[in-house]
Amino acid sequence: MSLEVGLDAPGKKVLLMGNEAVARGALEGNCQFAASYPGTPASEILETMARLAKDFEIYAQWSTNEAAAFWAGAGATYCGLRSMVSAKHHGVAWMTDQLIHISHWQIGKGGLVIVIGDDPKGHSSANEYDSRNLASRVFEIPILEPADPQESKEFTRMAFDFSEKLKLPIYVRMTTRVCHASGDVILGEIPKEKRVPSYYPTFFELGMEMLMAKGWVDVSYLHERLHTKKLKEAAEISENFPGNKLEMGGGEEIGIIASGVCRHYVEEAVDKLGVKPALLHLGMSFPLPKEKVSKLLKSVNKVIVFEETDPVIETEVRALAEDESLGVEILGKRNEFTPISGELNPLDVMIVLSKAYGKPLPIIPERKELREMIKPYEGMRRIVLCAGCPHRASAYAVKLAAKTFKGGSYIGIGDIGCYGMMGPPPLMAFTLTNCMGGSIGLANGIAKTGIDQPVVAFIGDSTFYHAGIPPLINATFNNAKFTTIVLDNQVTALTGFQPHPGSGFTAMGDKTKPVKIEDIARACGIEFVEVVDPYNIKKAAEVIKAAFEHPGASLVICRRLCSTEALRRRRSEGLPPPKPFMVDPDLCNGCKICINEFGCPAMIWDEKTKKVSIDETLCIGCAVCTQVCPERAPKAVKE
Amino acid sequence: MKKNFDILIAGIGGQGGVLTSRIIGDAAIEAGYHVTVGETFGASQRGGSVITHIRLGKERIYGPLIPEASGDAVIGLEPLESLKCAVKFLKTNGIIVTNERPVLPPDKNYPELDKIFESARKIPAQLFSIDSIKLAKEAGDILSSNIVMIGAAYAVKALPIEEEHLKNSIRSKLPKAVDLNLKAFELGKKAMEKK
Repeated sequence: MSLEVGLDAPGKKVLLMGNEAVARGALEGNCQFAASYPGTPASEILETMARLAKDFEIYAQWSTNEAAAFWAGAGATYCGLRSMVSAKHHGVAWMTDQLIHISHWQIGKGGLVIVIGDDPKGHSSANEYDSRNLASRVFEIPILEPADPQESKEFTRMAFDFSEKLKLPIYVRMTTRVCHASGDVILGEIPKEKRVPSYYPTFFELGMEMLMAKGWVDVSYLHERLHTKKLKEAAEISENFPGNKLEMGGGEEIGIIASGVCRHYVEEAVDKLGVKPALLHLGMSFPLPKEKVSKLLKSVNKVIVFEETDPVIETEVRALAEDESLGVEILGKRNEFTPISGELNPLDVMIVLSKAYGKPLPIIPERKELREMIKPYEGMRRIVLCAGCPHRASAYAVKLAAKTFKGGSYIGIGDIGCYGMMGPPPLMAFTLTNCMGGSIGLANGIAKTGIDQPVVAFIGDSTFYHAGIPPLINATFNNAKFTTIVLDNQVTALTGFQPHPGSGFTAMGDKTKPVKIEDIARACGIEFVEVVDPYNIKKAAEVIKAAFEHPGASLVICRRLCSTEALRRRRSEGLPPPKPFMVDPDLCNGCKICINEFGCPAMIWDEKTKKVSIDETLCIGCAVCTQVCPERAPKAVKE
Repeated sequence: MKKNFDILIAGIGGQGGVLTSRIIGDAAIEAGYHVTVGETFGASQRGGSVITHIRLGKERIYGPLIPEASGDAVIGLEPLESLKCAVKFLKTNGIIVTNERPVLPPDKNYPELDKIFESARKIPAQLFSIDSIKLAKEAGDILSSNIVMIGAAYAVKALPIEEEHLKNSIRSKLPKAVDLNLKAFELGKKAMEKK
């Protein structure tokens, strides 16, 4: 992470990641409150805010989930503070009801900025849905789309002003390539005056306004006000927004509209192809700057729209062309002129433009033989659980327990986290997933069908706090019999080891009371609740089997600190890494259970000797492979 | 100072490709370049293939992704990852400078090292390789192997940045182990100068 994000040096040029630049923009915009739930690609926003917090009198929290983050952030605005809520696109679903409400009703006197990391192509997500659909059509709040770190900073800073002017939350829509790209950013001023919190009851003010307008409490007034007043003001802001730039010399045949990072792809493609279209960069895509768009539509024959991932802008542009009866040809996703899903890249944009202009592409060497040669190795490094990962041991223990109970068959349902990698071979611990909390949620329904197999919901610790509790109560409420396995590695590991309610410390490093999963489970009415150490596979399997045998809903917590986090903590304490194990070649019988069923990446198969050895750079000496090996061949190395 | 220079760092999640790119990026800013570094974190922290795109521009810069077959150099932290990256992204006669110590994938399906190098030369490319793990151990910490690679890349002109800017960046990004990492840089540089 950049050390320079908090530098009080206006005009200095520093390298910042897009997410860090958002945090810097919030700092320059006098944001004093930040809340989030971790999610790639947006996690570093709150991480940076938390790091800046103590030096700049900012409060930053990791919240239990995005709903809690939204409420916390919105709460601060009612006390007059500027506040930022960040999340990945999936997190928007958790603040949907809240955002609809607040856009109709009112934020407090402090500005509220919602920064969302969408993930075109789903690099780190279960899907690539475009959250602008919600922001524009459902929440009906202005959307800013920065293209690079500099814009991420400027747009975030300006968003607070817009929010206070419009009394609406402002949606800063990032994408993975904007969140995680670093670039040179020129720093601005950090305001020295902090606001003092003071509660202001907007509720009554708004009630009076409604009464005056409609004569009674008629909430349709709020929608009317949003459409006739706030969004009209927002459209004016959009028209004058410096990030909405029309570059047109006159006489161009083709116009291009591009938002977010696509704009930079367009700039490169245009230069490489040597073409000169009229360009409209949209940094504020909702509401559309209609005058600028209309000016472009009127002066060219064709307009191509580049955006990720849905035709959100394109649809608006088509509507505008229809409203104004303009005959211009619009090319984009809706007529499959540009790719209809996934992430764009400079080459894709170049291909589209070469088609539009009838110009040949710059020559890309074929390298056919070489591409054939590397083909078998593409995708060979599928992500796996780390060496020593306690989840691998937990999965193995569950399968061991199932083997001794009804012949090994069970219905396994996974959830969102590192343990998603327990689904694919070799572990194959579960065969179904949905969104956060879906494991316990789906188990409720599957168990109530009366199916005659053990039903097992696998859920991580952070996910349990986030979304597991209401469906667990539902199990007690409705007498559903299934077993929940909580994979408790004590951090939010997949997104970068952030603390959660069970960790005992906050985003800002303050001590806090750990909320215990076993206490929650018992309070939810679960009568069978046990905690096991997954590194002791046999013991863990015995307890899990007892959970299967229990007549009601049961829950087993497999608790062991994330092995990668354990290594990180050792390193920060100046301790050497733990000693790796070695396989005794005389004992190894070449059965490959450790590779084919257990799947630890530290196990190496030697085709010549037909024996397994251990990669000393990966092994952390967890000793679980020794328990899995029928010959107990892996051994601790004696000093 | 070059007008534009595109560098790819190829490696595996956890090898330190991200830190490497930040060190190069900071050095390039000090050298007066516009910089963009395209990175993917998150799931790629754990053993997946990771390619980082570093773009330097004297006057201007485009987006964070380098178009296919137009990169000037590939700095590789793992030999097969270097080849895969170079076939896709390196321009004709670009530079590949790579660590020669393989990291085997879970299914252990991996080509002979000679075959990797022979293929890399066929791109065609100027190929340089060293055992950065061995040199990192010599410097005092296996984790400094990517700093060894920065030294090696500097020596073979895969980084159009002055040595002092790179060293300043190492000093500011790795304040806890400055001497060790500067030694790693020197070892990488010297190993290439011998070749």
